[in-house]
Amino acid sequence: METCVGEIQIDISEKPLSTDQGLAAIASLSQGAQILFAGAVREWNHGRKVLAVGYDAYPPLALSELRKICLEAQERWGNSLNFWVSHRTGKLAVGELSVVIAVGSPHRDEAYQASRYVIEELKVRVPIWKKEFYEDGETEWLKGHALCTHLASQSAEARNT
Amino acid sequence: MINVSIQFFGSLRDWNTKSSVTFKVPLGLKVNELRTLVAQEMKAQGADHRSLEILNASVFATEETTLTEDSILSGDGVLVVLPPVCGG
Repeated sequence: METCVGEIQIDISEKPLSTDQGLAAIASLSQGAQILFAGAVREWNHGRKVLAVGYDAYPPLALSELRKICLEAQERWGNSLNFWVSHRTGKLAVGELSVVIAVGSPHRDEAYQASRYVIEELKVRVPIWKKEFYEDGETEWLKGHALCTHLASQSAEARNT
Repeated sequence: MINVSIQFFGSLRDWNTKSSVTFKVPLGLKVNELRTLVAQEMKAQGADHRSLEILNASVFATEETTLTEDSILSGDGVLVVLPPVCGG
């Protein structure tokens, strides 16, 4: 069944991700370009061998924020863009896909830019966290981007005292 | 007084074995005041300095939206504490 133009599909679940499913979801006779980004768990991070990564998420706000990001991308690059964004949660082994972003557009330039926009915004705005499991048995939650605004106020107050 | 149940995410899940902690607080309490109470409880339960730093960098939120420090608690409910994010 053909996807409607401008459709946004978002999912967060523990199910393994499929790039085929992402491409099928954004396919449309009016879309000349289909761009797929797939993020996978990599084996090395900052010199440490990773065995697995655990992903945690707060789905209510993660889903709504992802939708907001896609709507912003449509505003910038066209309301005809289709999006399929899926992020996995749970413990993933090295090589497994953590996120798939598929973008359909009449032309490739908008699809490339919109795809990049979605992943960059996801990383700093969407309530998802990751914990790495290392070969030496240790684990570490990775540092992230704060969603709060009060830290800036604290810094300003400290500078003024 | 109102009952506010706090759920923790990301690295803040690790400081406590329970999935949520409930606070009895005055109606009209602001988020920044709730943050102080949460920090006190975390310290009392042995949370380390790193966890308290992460709490300070976290945002309080409902299912619908993140809250500012001036947001006022208007009744019983569930709030979540969201540490700095790093998905993808």
